[in-house]
Amino acid sequence: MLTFGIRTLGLRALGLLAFFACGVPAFAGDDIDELEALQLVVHNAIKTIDPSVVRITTVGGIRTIAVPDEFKGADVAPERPREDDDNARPSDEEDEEDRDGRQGGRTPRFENEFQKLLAIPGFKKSEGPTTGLIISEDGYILTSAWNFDSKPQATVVTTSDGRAHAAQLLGIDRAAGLALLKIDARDLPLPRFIDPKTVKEGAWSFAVGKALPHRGVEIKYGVISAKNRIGGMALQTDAACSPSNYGGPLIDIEGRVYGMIVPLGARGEVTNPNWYDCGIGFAVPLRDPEALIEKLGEEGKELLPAFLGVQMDQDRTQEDGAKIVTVLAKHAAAKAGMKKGDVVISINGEKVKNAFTLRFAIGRSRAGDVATLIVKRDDKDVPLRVTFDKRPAPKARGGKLPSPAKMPTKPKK
Amino acid sequence: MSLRTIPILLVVALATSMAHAGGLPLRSKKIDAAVEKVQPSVVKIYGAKGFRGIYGYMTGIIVHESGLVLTRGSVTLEEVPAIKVHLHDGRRVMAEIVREDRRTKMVLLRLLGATKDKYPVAPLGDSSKVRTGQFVLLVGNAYKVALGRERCAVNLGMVNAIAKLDARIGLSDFHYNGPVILHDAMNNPGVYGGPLVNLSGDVIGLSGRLVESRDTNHQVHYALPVNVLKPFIEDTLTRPGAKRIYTGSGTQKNPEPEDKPAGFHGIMILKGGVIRATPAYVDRVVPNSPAAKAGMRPDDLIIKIDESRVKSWKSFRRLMAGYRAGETVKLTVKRGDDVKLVVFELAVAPRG
Repeated sequence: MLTFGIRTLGLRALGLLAFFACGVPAFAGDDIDELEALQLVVHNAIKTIDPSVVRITTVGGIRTIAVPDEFKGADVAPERPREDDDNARPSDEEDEEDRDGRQGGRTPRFENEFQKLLAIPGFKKSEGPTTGLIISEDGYILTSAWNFDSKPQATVVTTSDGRAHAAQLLGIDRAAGLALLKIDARDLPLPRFIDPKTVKEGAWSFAVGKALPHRGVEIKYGVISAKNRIGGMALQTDAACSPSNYGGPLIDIEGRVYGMIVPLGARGEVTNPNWYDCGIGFAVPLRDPEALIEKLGEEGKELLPAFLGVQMDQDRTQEDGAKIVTVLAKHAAAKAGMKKGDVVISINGEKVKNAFTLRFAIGRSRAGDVATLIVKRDDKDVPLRVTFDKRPAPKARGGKLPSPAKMPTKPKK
Repeated sequence: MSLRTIPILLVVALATSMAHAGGLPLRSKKIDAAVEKVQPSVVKIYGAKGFRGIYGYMTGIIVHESGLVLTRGSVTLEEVPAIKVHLHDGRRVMAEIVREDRRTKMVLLRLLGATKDKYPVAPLGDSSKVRTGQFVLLVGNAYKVALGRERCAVNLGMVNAIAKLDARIGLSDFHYNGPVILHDAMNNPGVYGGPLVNLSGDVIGLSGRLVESRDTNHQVHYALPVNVLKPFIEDTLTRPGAKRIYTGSGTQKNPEPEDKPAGFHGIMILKGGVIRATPAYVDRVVPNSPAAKAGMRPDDLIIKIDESRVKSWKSFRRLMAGYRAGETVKLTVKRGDDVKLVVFELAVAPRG
């Protein structure tokens, strides 16, 4: 026993020595500062993740423009650009292709006001180089769908060894904002993934991006702020998330992947520039990359958020199930035979405590997924097989526009 | 035990040391020492009275014991009757501009008034050793909350990357085209010109304003690497003289003198007409031109010029205008489903 102990100790000392010897400056015994130790660990994490992160360059396509908060509530659908190009207008500015753009589905008045806004330099839109993550050795690459809303004409993936590959866009997961790309390559370095269940709030998290034209990754640090955000779908972090790292991985201190950084808003919409680097970033956990490839690995495939079609009792204190208050006609729940007054107690074997647990479980599903729900009806357990619908399109809200006084005007030169 | 588990051990050690701090707040000795080392040399600078959007205060560091203060060029210092500098010990000294560099937007001030004491000099580090992921401290006169003898604010951050920036500041282009240190320490108004310090307390960069990347449209905190600043200080010390000398070039896009003729490549780009977003498709390649010899073909889609992304046919022209005859250019093009690299040397344009 004693020899064993000594040997382990010796090994540990050796390991530590080796670690510091291959690291940066040598430390003298007790002088290792916490921050310096942390710094070394972070360097190691960067080294670990770097080969699995790729830079994605897109060219062409419709300019999609993120809409600032002032315009929310107007009759707009920012992430669904109109396909025809007839809205294009020549700009009178020299040199600036940054200032033109167009957007779909707006009223003429809105169009006008929006063009005023476009004249402001620095206005942001969803295009630019982005980051991606290798999720299979044979060339499947996952990234944020955000950059592909503009339907680019060409996509090139640059791997960390500097080689450029033409990429083909396969499926898009609209609910989580993920897009799957395929390049023709072999033996790509895979990252390691963390089981989302073991993630704890307060753990170090590092947002990794490769959008900037330089060698190596860009890294922002923070902690995991919360779990189960955006309908149970995403981790929240306070590491700065912006187009510089959308599509990149959120990693832990060992360089393992928590999930993919995507622009999500509080209600699951695509975020606008107001959210860049604001300390609220989201990462979608990648539970099972292989299943994801199976689901999205087909050109033009689109996954939409799941919709059950019920209204639930919003009592947070409940522990014994989600009570159904209303069942919407012609939707998934009604088709499966769910009735008013049912209490959902489990979904796919997972216990449902209240409306929120059920909502989180639905948030993790996609339209077309089949789930087994067990409901309590007249003190009997009734199993129901539900095929989730897609969320119906929201009705136009009367087109409330911001007052002209609030509208930014073109600055004088 | 594998190397992989050592980081966890370290973190555990970190956590336990926190727990055993005996109820006292955890202090990093490194940060303490670094702050002590750099603070005496950090000065608060007051220039023009602030008006709309321009702050009348900033930060600088003393770089020579005779009283030379290095800071960043700013309207705060322009056309000001008197520049006031507040030293770390509360002394108020007038200063004048000694030298200015347009390219890096740096300014050296000389503290006026005779003093027997030597001024405390900032320890300048080596910015070539800066690495992504290292912790940094940003020291500065944030919102001029520190008055008199009060010390400048210290913010902790991390080096995000060391990269060249294609960026803008408000309406104008970012002025410097070399690699800069990107970091995420809070960059408040007034910290402009403040030192970015590593954990050893050495200055590795001088803070800039918030800029916005043209590539990704996100806002970036940056600092000019100190190695860029050193020759400027040396030059001022070894060749004192004229009050204001403009070294470097003021232009941003083409810092090279325009004595070389414009480069000729022979690529005719499909013009997009009114649609500016049209990508850079090759319409025609002039026979026997450098591009034709390198194997460029019609219908190729140009994606990158060197490391810069080609957004449209317009940006192809803009980027190529920055190259002169004799320079080598590397184009990344998409041909069918393949990505090709086309490398050639630009020639002098043929006559006619």
